[in-house]
Amino acid sequence: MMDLLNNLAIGFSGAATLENILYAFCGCLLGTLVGVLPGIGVVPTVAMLLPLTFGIDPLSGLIMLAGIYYGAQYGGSTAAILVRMPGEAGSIVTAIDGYEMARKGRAGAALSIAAIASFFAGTVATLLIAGFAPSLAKVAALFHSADYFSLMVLGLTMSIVLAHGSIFKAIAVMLIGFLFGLVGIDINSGEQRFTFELPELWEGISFLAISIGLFGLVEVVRNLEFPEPTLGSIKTSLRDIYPTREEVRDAAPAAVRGTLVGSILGILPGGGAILASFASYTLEKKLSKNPASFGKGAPAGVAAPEAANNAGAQTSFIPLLTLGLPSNPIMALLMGAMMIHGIAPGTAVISDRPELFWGLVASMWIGNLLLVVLNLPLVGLWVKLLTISYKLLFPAIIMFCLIGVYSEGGNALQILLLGAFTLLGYLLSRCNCEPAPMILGFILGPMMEENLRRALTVSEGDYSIFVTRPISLSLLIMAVLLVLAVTLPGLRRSREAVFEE
Amino acid sequence: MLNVRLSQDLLAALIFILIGSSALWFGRMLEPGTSAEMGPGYLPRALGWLILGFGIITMLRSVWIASPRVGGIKLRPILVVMGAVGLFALLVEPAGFIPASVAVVLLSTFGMGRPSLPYLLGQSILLPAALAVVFVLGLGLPFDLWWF
Repeated sequence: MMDLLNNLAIGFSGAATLENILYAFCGCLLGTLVGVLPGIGVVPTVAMLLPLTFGIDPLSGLIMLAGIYYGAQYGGSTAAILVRMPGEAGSIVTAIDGYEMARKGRAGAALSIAAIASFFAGTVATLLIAGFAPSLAKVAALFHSADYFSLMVLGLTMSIVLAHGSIFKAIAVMLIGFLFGLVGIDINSGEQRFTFELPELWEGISFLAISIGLFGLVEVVRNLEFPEPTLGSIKTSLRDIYPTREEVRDAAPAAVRGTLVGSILGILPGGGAILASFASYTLEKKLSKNPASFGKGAPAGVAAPEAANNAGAQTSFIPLLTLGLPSNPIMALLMGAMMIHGIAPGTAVISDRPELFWGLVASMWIGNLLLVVLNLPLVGLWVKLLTISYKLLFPAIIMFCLIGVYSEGGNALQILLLGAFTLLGYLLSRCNCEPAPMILGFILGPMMEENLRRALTVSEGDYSIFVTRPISLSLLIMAVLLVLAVTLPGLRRSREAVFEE
Repeated sequence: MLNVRLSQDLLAALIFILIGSSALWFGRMLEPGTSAEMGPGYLPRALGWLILGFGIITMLRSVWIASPRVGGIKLRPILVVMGAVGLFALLVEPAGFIPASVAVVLLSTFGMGRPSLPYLLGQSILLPAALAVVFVLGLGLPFDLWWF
């Protein structure tokens, strides 16, 4: 306990400097701003704004990034509540009851319930990270390269299982990402792989080119292809941001349960915000004395998924920071950003750079606090942003994507690659293949190769090392069970049902 | 509008096969090594075969299990976005940030049908100027503004 307090003190002394609070503030503001804008989800927001953080020192950069991430999520739920346009999968459920509340004239209350539930969940999840991450990191220190390899197999399996569409195609897409991750000079032999003698490719394909292509520009193309009708003015009363007593009585216990569900699901690799929000909504509906009110503006239907969503988003940092395992595309983006800042995520972050680790943990809480303070008074502004037509926005979005990729390495070839990934991502999306497994394969690929090589060198080329080490074996069994679980007919139907909703 | 009559699975299979076989072809000179001493070509080769294999199985599957057609592809959005990316790549170094972004924005205004003149002019004058002020002058990103 004293340790925890000491550690948090280290964290706050790093994160609570005026400068870093300012960065957290900028991150939250920008994240919310872009997250609220129509047609831009959380992943593209984070991908586009990543390059803004490159010029500053690692801790400030990460703090700003985390702020962008929470801000984007917050902006997403604002859009979900006010105009029933969930920016990302995590706020789909919020859109159901939140929008109904808004239609009843309780938009202000819905927004403040969402904000306060998120803040509560964020606080609890921050404490959880502070409490559990160090012990998990100790466990991770026992891992050998074979175990790491199997852990990454499990992570990739998760990303495949959670992707829309056929699992079969998701595996192929993941392998393609893995292959792209290998481009460049092989660190082991010094030989060039798939570089076509181009010096610009020695360091590999830019992580920003692939992620901004697949998530940013593909989304622009899809939005231009199927434009959403522009919204008229929004007629909801925002004056009453205070929920009534009954609303609080309905929402408070739901927020607590949502936080629990979200924290647990977030820690699981591959889990995170989406699963958490669905699960907690279903749970609340089952527990409620008045299940019929769900879908008609139940405050619990806003509080629970928003709390779960935020708790899950936050605890999904745990596998990234302790094991170096990104559990969803956003964590993959943050991992890429950490590597650009010269930090290798994993066990070493806690032991070698405690000020960085604890600073980031502390800044999560600061970011959540800033969001509540910042957003409720600014709701009027967000509402105005929501009505901007996409026609005015998309040229700027295209420019942001181009500037982002070019500013990383000043390399025109990576811009051409950005175009190639846009085309590939667009074609794959037309074949009902999701891009998320490709990003995870791309990020994890080189690390998997390294661990595979080490493990096989130790075992002298014997693949049985992966099943004779207990840690590795149990991780692989989990991966197999997961695949079985989703391919078995009964569960498969329910999985499809979840994605249909 | 380009109407693609292929099924979704078949198009996916073709993409997988193309990528898998190019990995095998362009990686053919890389030394695979042995399991105990993996060479630079060990995983590329394995991945190439796996992706190719998945492609072939997906193709066979598309014969047995019907999947929806890919359907109509509107050419304007994808061509405009790809064109904008290409223009930026070509222009940013020789011509500088401002000419490159004017070209990109000018082209992208055609993304949603024929643009009106005020929209076209407004976007391609105001946006590059604002971006240059924020990113190049403000954040100091390493762009040259002009060709000189």
